[in-house]
Amino acid sequence: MYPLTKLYAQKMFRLKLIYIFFACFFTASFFYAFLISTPQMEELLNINIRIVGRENFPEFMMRFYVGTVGILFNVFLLTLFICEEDRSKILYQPLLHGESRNRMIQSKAYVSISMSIIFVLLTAIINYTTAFMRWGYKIFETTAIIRTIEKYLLSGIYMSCITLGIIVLCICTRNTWKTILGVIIYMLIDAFISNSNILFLQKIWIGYYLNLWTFSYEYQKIPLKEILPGIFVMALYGIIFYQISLCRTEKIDF
Amino acid sequence: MEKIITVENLRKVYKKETAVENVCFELMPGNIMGLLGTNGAGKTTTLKMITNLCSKDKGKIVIDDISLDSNPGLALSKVGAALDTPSFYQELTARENIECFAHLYKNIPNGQVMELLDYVGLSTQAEKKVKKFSLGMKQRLALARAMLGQPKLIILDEPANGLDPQGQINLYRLICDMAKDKKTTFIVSSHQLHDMEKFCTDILILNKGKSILQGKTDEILSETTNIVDCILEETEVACNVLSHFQGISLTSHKGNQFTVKLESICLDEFIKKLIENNLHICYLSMRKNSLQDLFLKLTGGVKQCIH
Repeated sequence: MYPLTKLYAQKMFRLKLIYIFFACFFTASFFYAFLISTPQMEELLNINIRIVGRENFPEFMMRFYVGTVGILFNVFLLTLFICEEDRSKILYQPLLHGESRNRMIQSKAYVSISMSIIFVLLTAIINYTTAFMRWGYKIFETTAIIRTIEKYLLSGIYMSCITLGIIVLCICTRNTWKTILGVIIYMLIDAFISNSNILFLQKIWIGYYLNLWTFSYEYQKIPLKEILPGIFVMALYGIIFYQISLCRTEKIDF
Repeated sequence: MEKIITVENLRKVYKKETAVENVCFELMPGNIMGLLGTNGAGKTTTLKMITNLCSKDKGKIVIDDISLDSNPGLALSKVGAALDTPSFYQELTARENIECFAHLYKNIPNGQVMELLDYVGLSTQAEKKVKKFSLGMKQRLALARAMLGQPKLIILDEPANGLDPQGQINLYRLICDMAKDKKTTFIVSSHQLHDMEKFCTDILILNKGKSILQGKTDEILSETTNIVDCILEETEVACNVLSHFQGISLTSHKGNQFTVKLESICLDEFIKKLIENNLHICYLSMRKNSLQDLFLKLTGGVKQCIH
């Protein structure tokens, strides 16, 4: 399976879109770091620079990535990686060279999950860099750094599960626009459930835990009792998504 | 001699529509089988079932003594295929594209990629990005990719699509050379009936998913009846005489133009009989059924073939 994973990894990281996106993200983060402290922006965004700036800035920007931008970026990449390859009849090529369907989709999943984790780490590096450029050594406050890194890691887990979910959508719909629509619907449902009072639904909803960690505990340490159920639910979703994608791939008539 | 591929009772149903029904064939090393049929006849579905890209509802496929059901990975390692429109990673060069897939094999010797590109006449274009390739070049590159790992069976789905006449001739020559030199077996689906007749050793014609004609090309064409077109004077007498001739059948006549099938007599005997019956021959020509005639007749393309 290693050669196939390597092939997909090479294919993925050759995409210029990734570099353009992170160049834009760096620019956005840079300007945000510098403009955020102007009174006009504080008023416009209804924020308090003393709260969202300095050591809290990387966490503030993380929400921007994980909440919406990152998911949309992942879905665009994955539709290119799966749906568009399927449409252009290149997805099944490895099968004509003796690879199995299982190995093919496993390789795709490994590369996609690695990609989503690397992207979260990359946003962390970008946000810390721009924060350092703006506030210098003031951002290095031990408690805040530990807390923020913990949140980035949890976001990485969340993004991995979402990535597996997007793979399932790609395989089931085999259509770029239907997959993107599916993800937008997910985000709408996520916003509805997270803002509702339906406790049972919230406890089993994957997006709820991200909102809990990033909003309810913003700029605060998350207690372990709030982390463990979230990780458990995400792992469960991840396993289910992975199994569905394996089963569904076996049944595809290319 | 051992069979390279055996296909038995292949069947595929999409929802309620039967795409392929009861297709059977077997091929020996060096055979080139032309898979013919109208659009939607089930050619691509058959090829996709053989390559395991599409599940089958019934039937058995054995490739080089390995059942596709029990060991698909090993069975397909003996197969190279170029299906649908040739597709590649557009941003990579021809060499990089082939190398990508070469890495999926364990024992591809160094330099084989360039050898393959050379074999299909693309060695000078090896460092050119595929997005700049013409369709003909992509077809040849697809053939090079299908040849990776030296497969015993190569499956090509309409490989001549988009090729100019020179490109088509080169492609068919390449296939014939491989079949002859390396004893590679080919299954080629195509609509180029004239070319298929020339270079295929075997023919399988599908119509609405069912096999309607199959066998050795030579046998199929020699078994078919010779046809004579003639113009005779004394139309009424000629019509009367021809309908009572032994060993022929009058297939059509329009005015003094007659079309006759020679079933058990040769042309000389037919002409002799016409003269014996005092029929004056104004024009006479004999033609043999071509693959195209047969195909059109079997698939109901046209009622009467006129050259």
